[in-house]
Amino acid sequence: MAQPAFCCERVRIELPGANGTLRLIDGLDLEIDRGDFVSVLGGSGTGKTTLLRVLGGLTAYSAGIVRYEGEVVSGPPPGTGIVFQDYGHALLTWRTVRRNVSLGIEARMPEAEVARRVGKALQMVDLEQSRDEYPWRLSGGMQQRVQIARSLAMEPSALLMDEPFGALDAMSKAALQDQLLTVQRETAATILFVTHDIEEAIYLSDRIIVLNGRPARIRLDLKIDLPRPRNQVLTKELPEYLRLRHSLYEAFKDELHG
Amino acid sequence: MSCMVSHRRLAELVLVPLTLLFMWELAVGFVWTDFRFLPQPSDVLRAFLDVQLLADIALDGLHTLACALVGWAIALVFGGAIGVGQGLSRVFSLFVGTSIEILRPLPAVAFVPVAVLLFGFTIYTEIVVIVYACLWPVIVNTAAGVRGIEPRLLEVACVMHLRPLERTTKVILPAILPSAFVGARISLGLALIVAVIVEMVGNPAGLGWGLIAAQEALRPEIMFAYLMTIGILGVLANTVLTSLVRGFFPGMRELGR
Ligand SMILES: Nc1ncnc2c1ncn2[C@@H]1O[C@H](COP(=O)(O)OP(=O)(O)OP(=O)(O)O)[C@@H](O)[C@H]1O
Ligand SMILES: [Mg+2]
Repeated sequence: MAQPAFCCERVRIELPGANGTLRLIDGLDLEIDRGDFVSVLGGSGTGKTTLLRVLGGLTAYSAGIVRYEGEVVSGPPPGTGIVFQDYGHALLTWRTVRRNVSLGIEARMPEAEVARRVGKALQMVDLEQSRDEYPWRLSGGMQQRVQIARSLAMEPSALLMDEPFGALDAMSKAALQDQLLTVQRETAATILFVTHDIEEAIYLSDRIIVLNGRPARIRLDLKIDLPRPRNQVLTKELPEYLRLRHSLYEAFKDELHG
Repeated sequence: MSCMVSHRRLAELVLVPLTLLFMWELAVGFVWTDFRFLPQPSDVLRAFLDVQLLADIALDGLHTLACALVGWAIALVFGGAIGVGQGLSRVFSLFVGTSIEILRPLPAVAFVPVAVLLFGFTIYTEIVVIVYACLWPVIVNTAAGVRGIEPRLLEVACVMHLRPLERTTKVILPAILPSAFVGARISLGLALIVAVIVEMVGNPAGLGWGLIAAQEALRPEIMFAYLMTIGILGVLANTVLTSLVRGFFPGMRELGR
């Protein structure tokens, strides 16, 4: 069997809290296969963001082991990119869109290659028109696309996304979901996608992991076998989609209805 | 409606000052006749028309401006370095913090006698005191800028695997620019004020000395001509600085359009 992209063995994550140490996640075993689109669902405060930050090497874990491509994670692993939820804070306001996207690669390769990659990344998220604009003059959805393009320019083999479309309206959200699916098809990157939107998770994923409890455990691990390419209307009318939607809402019943 | 962005028009900018000048003109002419030495704005305007006086004022203004700019620039370099060091390193901050907190509240003007003792009634005295006064706003604002830097940006730098030098030049320094600029602007204003004061009490040259000389010669209209020149210089310096920064860093949202 091929090596997984991410691999967690008996991982424990603890954070300092007001009442001593908070054990957020304990005994987590998880393998994420290369090229998979995996969504992480869970109620507010279960530790989805924290898990993503641990996989991305931004937060330390206190026991167990986290590997990316076989290497123990002790900082952001090379080849991974992170898309933060708060795009407003994650972009460099003093740089144009183009120069935001080139941030991670401009010192590493010849100018022509940088220009080629930036052009391609901007084209993938459909932002070529705004390349010379400053991010604070763009809409929220456009700013989030800048952040995605900035990760794409580094040609990552894995992308960690924390509720990237959480703050967007339904229309931009649907458009960005489809762009993301196209990107994934073209780049074959592994994507770990944190969301609290059940429909979004089913529509995008190959696999859905549901976290809950304190410390959080994997409550559900679902394989999503909906055909690709997916379609905002047709996919959501398939019986299999409705069945998945039903069982996920079942799983969240407690959180949804108190 | 008050939140809406609107463009300022010249008429709105000068209406109140012109009205005040007009009232001053009337008041001195017809009402407060006991202030014998208070000139009317028209007297001041007439004083400006004297070519000899105009040349004097221009030369004095040049002296004051040059001293203020030199002192300010020196303070920017040293204050910026200390501020960045303080913001970046806790250890450095611990070592210099106490000295800064003790020295900062001392009025710069109180150092004029000390500076005169060291450098005499010279231009050095003037510049040293200006540097001293300008240092604090630059240090405090730069350090606050570093401390207030968005943690998310540092994480971005980390995820993008920026090298330390890149991280400093591409993320940290540009991120603190807006607050460093606030410090620079405050201290530019201070530089002019302190320059004039030192010229009045320490270094007999420039606009400050011109003001004193006019007072001693009992020429109030010349005094006011000097006074107005100082004011104009301050406004001009601030405007030029703002538009220069805006030109060099077009992406600085804090400077607006
Ligand atoms: N930096 C931190 N230090 C200490 N505790 C933290 C930190 N960040 C988060 N926590 C705590 O950890 C818990 C999980 O936070 P996390 O952000 O991972 O939740 P989440 O599942 O992403 O929730 P949401 O859906 O609301 O984003 C919360 O109880 C939070 O208070
Ligand atoms: Mg979260």
